[in-house]
Amino acid sequence: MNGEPRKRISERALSVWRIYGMIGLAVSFIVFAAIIILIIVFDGPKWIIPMLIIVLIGEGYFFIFFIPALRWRRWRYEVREQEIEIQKGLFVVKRTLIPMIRVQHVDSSQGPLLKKYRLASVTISTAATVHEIPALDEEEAEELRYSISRLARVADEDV
Amino acid sequence: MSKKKRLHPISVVANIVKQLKDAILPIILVIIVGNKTISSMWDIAVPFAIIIYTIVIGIVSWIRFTYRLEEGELRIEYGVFVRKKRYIPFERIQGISISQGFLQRMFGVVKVNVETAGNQLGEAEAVLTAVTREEAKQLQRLIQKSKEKAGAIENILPQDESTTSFAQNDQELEQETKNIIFSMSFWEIFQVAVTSGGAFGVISAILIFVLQFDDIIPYEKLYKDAQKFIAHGMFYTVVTIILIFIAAYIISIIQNMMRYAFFTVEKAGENIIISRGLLERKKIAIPTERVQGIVVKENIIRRWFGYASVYIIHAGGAFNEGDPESIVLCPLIEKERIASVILSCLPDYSLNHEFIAPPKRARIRYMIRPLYFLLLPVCIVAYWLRPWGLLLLLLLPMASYFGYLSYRFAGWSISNYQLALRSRFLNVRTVYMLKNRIQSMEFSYNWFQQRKSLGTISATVMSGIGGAQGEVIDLDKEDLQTIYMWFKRTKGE
Repeated sequence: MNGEPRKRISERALSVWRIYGMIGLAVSFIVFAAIIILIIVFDGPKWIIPMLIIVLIGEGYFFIFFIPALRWRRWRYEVREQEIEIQKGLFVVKRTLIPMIRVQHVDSSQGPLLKKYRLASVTISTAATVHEIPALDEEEAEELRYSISRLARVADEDV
Repeated sequence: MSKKKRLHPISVVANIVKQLKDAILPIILVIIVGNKTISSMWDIAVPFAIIIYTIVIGIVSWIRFTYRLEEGELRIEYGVFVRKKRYIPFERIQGISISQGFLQRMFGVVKVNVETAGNQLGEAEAVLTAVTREEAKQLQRLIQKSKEKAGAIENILPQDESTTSFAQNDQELEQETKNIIFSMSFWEIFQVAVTSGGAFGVISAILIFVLQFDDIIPYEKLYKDAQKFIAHGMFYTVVTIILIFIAAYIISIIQNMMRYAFFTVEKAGENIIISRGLLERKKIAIPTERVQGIVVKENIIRRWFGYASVYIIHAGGAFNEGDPESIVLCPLIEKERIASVILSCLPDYSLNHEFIAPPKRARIRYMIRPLYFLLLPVCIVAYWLRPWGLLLLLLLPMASYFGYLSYRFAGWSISNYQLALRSRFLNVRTVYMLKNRIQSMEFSYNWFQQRKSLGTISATVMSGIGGAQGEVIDLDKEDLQTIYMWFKRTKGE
C-alpha cells in the first residue's frame, strides 16, 4: 500500500464542488432568512439570529473552501493493467481495489455543470459494487472508459 | 414444447388462496366498519362480492397464464387487465428449483421457480405454480440441452458470469452416486429450533399483525381494561407476559422444526443439493461454481456447546429471500466437523487455519467502540430515572466487555487463494472468500486509526441482492499491506 495511486482528478472539480457548496449555501440562506423574518415578526427569541448567522458563515467556509479542497487532495486513482485503484475520503480515507476481471461495465456521465467545465464522471460497476470517479477531464474520461473496457476484456484469470 | 401451455388447474385454488390472504384484512375491516353504519345487508354483500371477485380473478388469471418454450426462450404470457409477456432466454436462466406445497402435494404437481441472474432482482423471475412432475423434468431437460449448445460461448466469459449447469434432471441425478454429506437427526433439528432465538421474530410478527388492526381494535377500551388488570397486581401481569413469551417461543420452535425437518445436503456431480421441510418440501440445487463464499456463524448460545451454522453466499437471486446469507448449508454442526463437510462439497475452500488477530493497541478501541452509541443515551436515561436508573450504568462495562470479546475474536487469514475475515459482536461471523470471487476490496482508515497505524478492511463478493461483505476493523497496517499485496494483481510498480 506504500505509495498512493498516482493520478489525480481534474482540478476543475474544485470549481464544480465550490458551486455545489454555493448552491447549498443559497438554500440555507433562504431558509435561515425565513426563520429570521419569522422571529422578528412574531417577536421570538432574538439570540437565535446571531447563532444562525454564525452557522451560515461556518457552512460557507466548510462547503465552499475547506471540504472541496480536502476532498480534491485526497482523491486519487490509478488504472493498471490488472486492476483499478481508487482513493478517496475526507475524514476516513478509503482505498479500493477493483480487479479488472471483475469490471462489468464502465459508464461516463455529464450533468450541465460538469459539461460547462468540460468534465465527466466515470462509474465503474462490478457484479456487486459501484465505484465512481467524480470529475475527470472529458477526454480523459472517454479514454479511461475505453481503456478499462479494453483491459477488462483482455484481463485473464490468474487463479 | 412450443405450444402454449397452461398450469394445472389446481393453481386456480392456489391463486385464490393467495388473493384471499391479501384480501382478508379489507374484508374484516368492511365487516367491522359496516356493523356500525349501514344495514346488515351490506355486511354480507360486500365480503361476498370480494370473494366472488377473487374467485373470478383467480380463474381468469389461470386462463390467461400460458407458458411455452420457443426459440431458446421461456415465454410466459399473463395478466388479467394488462397483458404481460415475459421472455427469458435460456442462457439467462441460472437455476430451477422445484418445491411442493400442501396443495401441490395433494394433486401430485410441483411448483417450479425459474431463477435468473442475480443482478436484475425481481426483473425476470418466473414462477410456475403448478405443473406436473413430468413437465417440470422436460423443462429442465430442454433448458439443459440448449445451454449445452451455448456452452462454447460461455467458456469465454469470466467464470461467474457464465450461466452454466444447474441441477440436472432427476434421472441423471439418480444415476450418479448420491453422496449425502450432511444430514440432521430429529434431536439436532430440535436443538436448532430451541436455540434459534426465533421467539423474538414471532412476537414481532404478532405485534405487526396486531398493529395493522390499529383502527379496528378499540385500543382505548383495552387499555383501560389493561390498567384495571395491571392494578390487580404486578404478579398477574408478569405471569401473562411470560406466558405470551413462552407461547411465542413454542410457536417458533414448531416453525423451525417444520422448516428444517429432513434436512439433508447431498453432492451430486457439480451440484450441492439441499432439501428440507415437512409441510413444504424444498429442494435447492446450487452448482458449486456459483458459490461465492462461505459464512460460518456462531451464535452466542450455540458457541457454548461448540456448535456453529454454515451458510453459502450464492450469486442467484430467487433463493435468497432478501438476505445474502439465507442458504443454510448446515443449520447446526459441531465446529470440528465443518472442515470435513466443506471439504467434501466445496473442496476449493479450506477451513482449518490460524487467524491473525488485530494488534494489542487496537484493544482499547474495540472496548470503547460500543460506548460511542451507548454512553449518551444511557447517561441521560440513568439521570432521568434516578436513583434506580443509575443501575443502567452497569450496561457500560458490559458493553465494553462485549467490545473486548469482539477484539478477541476478530482476525484475518490468508491461505493460498482464500481470504478469511472474522468479526464478532454478539455472533462470531467468519467469511471465507476466494480471491477470484472478490469483486472489490476496500481499505479504510480514519484519523484515530491513522495515529495508531491501524485500518479497516472489507471485501465484497457478489450475492443475489448486490453484495455480501466481510469486514475486520482495526488491523495492523502491516497486515493490511499483506492483504493488499495478496489481492493486487499488477505486481511491481
